[in-house]
Amino acid sequence: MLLRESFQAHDSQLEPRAEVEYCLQCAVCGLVCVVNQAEAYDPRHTFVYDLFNQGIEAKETLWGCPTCHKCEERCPYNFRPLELVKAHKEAALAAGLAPEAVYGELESLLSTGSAFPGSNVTERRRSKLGLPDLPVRPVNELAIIAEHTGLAGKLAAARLAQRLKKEEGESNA
Amino acid sequence: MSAPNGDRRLAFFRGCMIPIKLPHLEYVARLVLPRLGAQLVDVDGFTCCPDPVGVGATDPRTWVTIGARNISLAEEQGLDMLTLCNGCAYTLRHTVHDLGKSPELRHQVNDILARTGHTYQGVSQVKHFLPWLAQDVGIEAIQRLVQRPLTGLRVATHTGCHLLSPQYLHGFDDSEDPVVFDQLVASLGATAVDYRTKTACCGIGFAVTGQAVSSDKALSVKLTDVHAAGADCIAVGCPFCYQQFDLGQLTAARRFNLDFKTPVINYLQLLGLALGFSSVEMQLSEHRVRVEGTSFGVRLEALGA
Repeated sequence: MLLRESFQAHDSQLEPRAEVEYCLQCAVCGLVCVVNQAEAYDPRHTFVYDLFNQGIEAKETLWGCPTCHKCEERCPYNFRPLELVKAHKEAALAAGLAPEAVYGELESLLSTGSAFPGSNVTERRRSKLGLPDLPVRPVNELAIIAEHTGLAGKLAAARLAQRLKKEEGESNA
Repeated sequence: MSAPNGDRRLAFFRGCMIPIKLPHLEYVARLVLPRLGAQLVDVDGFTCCPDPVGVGATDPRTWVTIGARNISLAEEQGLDMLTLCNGCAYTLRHTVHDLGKSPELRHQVNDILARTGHTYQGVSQVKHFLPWLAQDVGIEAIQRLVQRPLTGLRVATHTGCHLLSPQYLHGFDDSEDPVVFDQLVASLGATAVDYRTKTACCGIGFAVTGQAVSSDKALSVKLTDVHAAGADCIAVGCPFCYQQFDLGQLTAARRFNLDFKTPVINYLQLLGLALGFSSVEMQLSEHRVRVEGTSFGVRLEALGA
């Protein structure tokens, strides 16, 4: 059985999710998802099939997921594809395989307290409208949180993995 | 104008997108929401909620801890929170939900928060402004405040993923057949029009991870349906959906030869127009998809807005 074979190759991710065995590849999750608009989407894919057979490389179908829960609400077997998507994103982040935009957002969050930094244009527009200055965001508190949740270490490891991969590519060229 | 439920002090959680990229919507919120009885309190120290997609899906522990820190700041002021963004509402309500369900997680989060001088208590409520208007203020109370009924204006509503699903989190509307946003539009005298892909995602997730073609494709499907329904404008309650429909419409139109322009409007702007504010006060000149020359612009002019 196709699914069983590929699942066995990913035991560490499947172990806490035994209910994945109930997935019968009906593909309803893909039909109700915005990911079916992705260039790389194939209507034969279900999230479970797609994700477990292709690993955690930066793929459109994985990173197009907006965490909208539609797959979870519609799945006829009460399986939760979103939990798998999140597990894969989490693993990809730590391995340095997430899109650059994701690292950029996390680094901006920790260095500025905001998902993206403001600019002089922002300040000018706000002052023209008579809006109060942007608040000072206590990034020192975020640094403490990131250190204790492990995010700071994960980001450093991901950046190191990316650098080593790049250097390896350059030395092979 | 007297407020319907008396003044209610609420911690004003603006998030990142509105104050940084769409400050005109913050201006509108500060003008309109007090008319409905919200006394908006700026709380020092709020950070990004954080974003449920970029942060929530890649590092759930950090996500929920920073979310809890934000809520703890409102709790220190003894306030409930009001957000202007679906993403912020999703994150903060998810945090309340998860920490309420798992004492162990709450203990772990508070262990970290103690090092920043805060404690999550789980007493503050978090509401997005659309549910706040529909449930706390009430459709009938809004109706009574209308000075300029938006008669004849045809509006396609897009509630947005993170306010509809999961239903247990928001308790706002039916995620497969949403009607509350339509009721809020109808309370202003406008007509809500139904369209095929009403619950489909706007596609902003593609746009922010650099997948421009997929983003334009997802967007063009919705825009085509909205146009076919004969809507004068698209109404949203989320700044990310707003940015996708407004800025994204320009690139999607170029790529897929869409020969129409449908203005995108935040519900607070529509509400403000119905309360008697002018188009200038509601910042309609800030939109990328210009209002002038569209059926939306013509109707507003006829209504004297």
